[in-house]
Amino acid sequence: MSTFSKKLVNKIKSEGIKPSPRWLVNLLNILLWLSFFIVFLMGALSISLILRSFNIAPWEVTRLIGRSPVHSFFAILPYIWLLFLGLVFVVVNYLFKKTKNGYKYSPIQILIMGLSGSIALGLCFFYIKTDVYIERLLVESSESYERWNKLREDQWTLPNRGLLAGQILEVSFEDHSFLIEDFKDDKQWIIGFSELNDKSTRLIVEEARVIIRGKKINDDEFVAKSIHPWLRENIRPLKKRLLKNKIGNMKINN
Amino acid sequence: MYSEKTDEELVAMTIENQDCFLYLVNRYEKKLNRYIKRILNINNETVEDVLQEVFIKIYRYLNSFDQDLKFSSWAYRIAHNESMNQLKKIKKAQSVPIESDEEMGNLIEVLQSEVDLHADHIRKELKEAVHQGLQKIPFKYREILILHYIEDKSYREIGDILKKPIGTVATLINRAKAQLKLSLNDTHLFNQIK
Repeated sequence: MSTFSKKLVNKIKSEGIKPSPRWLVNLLNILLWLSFFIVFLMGALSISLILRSFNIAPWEVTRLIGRSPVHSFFAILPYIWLLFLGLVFVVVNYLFKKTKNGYKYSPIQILIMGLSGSIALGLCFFYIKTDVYIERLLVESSESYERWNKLREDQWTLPNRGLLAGQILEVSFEDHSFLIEDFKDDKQWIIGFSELNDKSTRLIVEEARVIIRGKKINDDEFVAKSIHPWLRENIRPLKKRLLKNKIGNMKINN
Repeated sequence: MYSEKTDEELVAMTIENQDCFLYLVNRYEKKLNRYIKRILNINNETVEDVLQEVFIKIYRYLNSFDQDLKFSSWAYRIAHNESMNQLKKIKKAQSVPIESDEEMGNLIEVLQSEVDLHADHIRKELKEAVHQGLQKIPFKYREILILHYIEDKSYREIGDILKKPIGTVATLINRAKAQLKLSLNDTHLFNQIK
């Protein structure tokens, strides 16, 4: 036995050093994978919320909120969720690297695997409408999130650019006009709709929340060229047929 | 009897019986001692302290040993981590000769194949230059050259030791060779060759 070995054995014995128990090793391993899956799940949820942002955007009028198509696209990007997703990938990468074989993969490989997995799971969440539940939960529980949402919604009220978003208060089909209160400043506007097609006319229902594309006539009058469901009312293509039937069955005051 | 056992068998036996750990220590004491000394370039006393810490960690984490790995890769990984900790402590390595000429063989061959040196006196001078060159290049490059050309580890083993993908190991080795050649370019020997 070498001098080094003797010193080592003495130290191990005198300090009572023992191998860490197997159960502790297993527990730490389980906790690591659990953290990884929780963070991964959060990534998938943020993907479903990003998909929701694109799904509820009224693409027919989106171009009006920006100075150019590119600017309009960036205006509707859900930055908060993209930022969150970026953060999730940093943590996922870190946790995955800590797993037994994680080091064998490059960050790019982990990113591709993580992104594909998150998109697949995010699509499932989106399909079963988890995004709607999460969005509602966040709006109800976080004032900051509600404020951020309000800022994003205010960008749809741009009367000078021919865009108005608000809730319908009264409808007069005789005068081909209705009254709305916009979401941004709670200002009331009289909207003329004689130029509308049937599809848009069907959306004119008292208390309905809508986005109107048209032209500002003066400080409180606006002529509608088309009407679109408000962001939060916008729903999946799968369900659009149901909405169509529901609105079609509604009694319109004409 | 124990000398015929594989490392992995000795690990399993050590978990049951502490005394078996000595056989693992005997197997790896010299190898890890040289490795730590080579990469850190520190005096023998400090090397022994680091080595003691390495073996204590090996013993303490025996239950974490991944049977898919070679024990030697796992032991070198712990030695690498402990050396990194030591490097942070000392910040600057002291100047201690790191190799004997024989052990520098593989690395010399690599350089020789690229500069076509034949004369013995030039080869001897090159060995000395490599000694110096290794001290000048960054730690991560020095370590990977030592692992591959001196410790004779494969890309896969180096990947397991440094916890890096094989592709990254290959890139690092190429960069390390380039760095070493660059550091040798300034030497009297290489100026002569040019």
